[in-house]
Amino acid sequence: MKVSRVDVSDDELGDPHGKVWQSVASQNFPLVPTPLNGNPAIKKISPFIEKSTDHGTINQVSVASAHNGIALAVHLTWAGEKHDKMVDLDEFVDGAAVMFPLTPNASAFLMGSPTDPVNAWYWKGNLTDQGFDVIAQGYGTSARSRSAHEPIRAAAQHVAGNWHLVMCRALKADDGRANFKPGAATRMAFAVWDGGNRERAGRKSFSGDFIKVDIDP
Amino acid sequence: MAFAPQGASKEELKRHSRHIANIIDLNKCMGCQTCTQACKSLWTSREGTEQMRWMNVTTYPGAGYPRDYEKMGGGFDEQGEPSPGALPNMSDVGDAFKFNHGEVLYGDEGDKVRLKPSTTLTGDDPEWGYNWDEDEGGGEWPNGYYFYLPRKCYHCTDAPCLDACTHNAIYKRDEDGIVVLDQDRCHGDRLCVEACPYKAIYYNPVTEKGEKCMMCYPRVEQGIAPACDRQCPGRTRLFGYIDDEDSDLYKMIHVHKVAIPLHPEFGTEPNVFYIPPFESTKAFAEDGSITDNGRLEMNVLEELFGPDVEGVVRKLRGERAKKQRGEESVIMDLLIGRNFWDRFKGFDKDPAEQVMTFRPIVKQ
Repeated sequence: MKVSRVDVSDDELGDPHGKVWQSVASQNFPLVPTPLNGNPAIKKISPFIEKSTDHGTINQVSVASAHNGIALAVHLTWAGEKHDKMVDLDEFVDGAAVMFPLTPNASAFLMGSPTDPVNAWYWKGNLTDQGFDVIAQGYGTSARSRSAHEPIRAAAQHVAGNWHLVMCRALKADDGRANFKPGAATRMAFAVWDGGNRERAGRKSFSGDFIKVDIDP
Repeated sequence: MAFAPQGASKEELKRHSRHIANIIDLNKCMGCQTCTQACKSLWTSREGTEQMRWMNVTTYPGAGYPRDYEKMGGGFDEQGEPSPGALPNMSDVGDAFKFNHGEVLYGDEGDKVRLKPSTTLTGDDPEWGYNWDEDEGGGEWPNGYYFYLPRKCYHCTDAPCLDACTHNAIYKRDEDGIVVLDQDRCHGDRLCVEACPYKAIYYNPVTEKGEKCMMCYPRVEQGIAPACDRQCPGRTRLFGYIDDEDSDLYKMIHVHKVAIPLHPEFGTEPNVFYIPPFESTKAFAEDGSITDNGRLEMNVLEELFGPDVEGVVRKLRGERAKKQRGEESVIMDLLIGRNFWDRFKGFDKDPAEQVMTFRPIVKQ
């Protein structure tokens, strides 16, 4: 997979139905339920979520990525019903995340570690135009970044049974978040939450280990 | 300090040097809801908390609060394995009905339109609400019976909410064992609500975070009993350190063993204890004569307090009989609870002099 160099404005890059996305190649990634049940590491952080067996209903995500020299965008498409409002107290919304390693040894399976943390861009269905920058150093440590930097810009549309989501932010970050250099490579992993299946926290589908992604110069 | 880094173990989060506890005497509770109101006006008048009753009183037998919480699961099973349960919805937690006050009082329609509640989510007529089944109780006419059951967070020694949270947002305070929920760490995942068998954690849909009774710890830190305990006009409450051997609370729990936990089978070691109702209105016989039997069946109490309750009831009846014969009964004297400085030993300072400094700001 690669991050394509495109010559469009940030606004078009951040539009899930922007014309630019017709010319950027996408790739399908299978998603599997996170291994919660019977996982000793999960039991340590929550013996209750360790009992989960019915999560991970979304089994595929289509991913495209592009940058314009200033900002990097990741475009995700997956099939699923729309849950974008928490009307009642027992309801959950859909969500998606893209994770990047912050060191060469960081693990997507473990969501990082104290010495090898990860950075994720996280969107949830009831947020209209913004996502969260998340830093994690292992299971149960994900914390929304309190950085004063620009937030993750996010735009999502649900059309004909599919979510189309774009998350976007500046290539450069000098505050411990992921940095992207045109001409170099990065790695990505993906996760999707089905709100209709009460998915949140570790109850989700994920793409497994990091996937190498070349960034066009 | 039991507030620990996010990667800390659950044992670390549960660690505490001392523990506070409550006793509530169900023989005295008259269902006046003063405790409910004391809590509500102090802590849950903010946006998104309107439907919450961290302190609540419902009629038993009944659906309880939140509705049917006893059927929702949570806690630990007989093998000690975690058993996640269901989540209550807005109706289950009693909602916060809207009323057509404007239409009735100011719309010149007062003679045609009746005052009526509507639900928050749909605007429809409510089909359930807080204390909806008040005083329905159990039994068959003419031998109906009921009692009131005040409930709040049990600040469990083995708190399942704390175990459930993947972000370690919940921990026990080292100095008093009070279970608190760190709003900065909470992601609103509600795993804690599923895990709590008493359903004493609530979801705030505005902040998208969990909230719960924190035993009025800002009061407790200043030597003032929690608001629900202090405001109870029925003198039903005791509050203090569970290891304070000089306290009435300690004597009732550990020496005389007449204060017992609600639903011990949930396996969470709750720290709010109850004096079970040991007498009820005398039952009518079929011919209409009054018998010596109470209407309240022991199996109703056993469902709530487990098999130990029968011995406690027998002991309390025996102690009462002693008093009736003019003999001494230490237990009956303790149960009278004459003075709040005995009931709240160590936490008897006057709230009126100090409470204003930490009243929360209410959003307008």
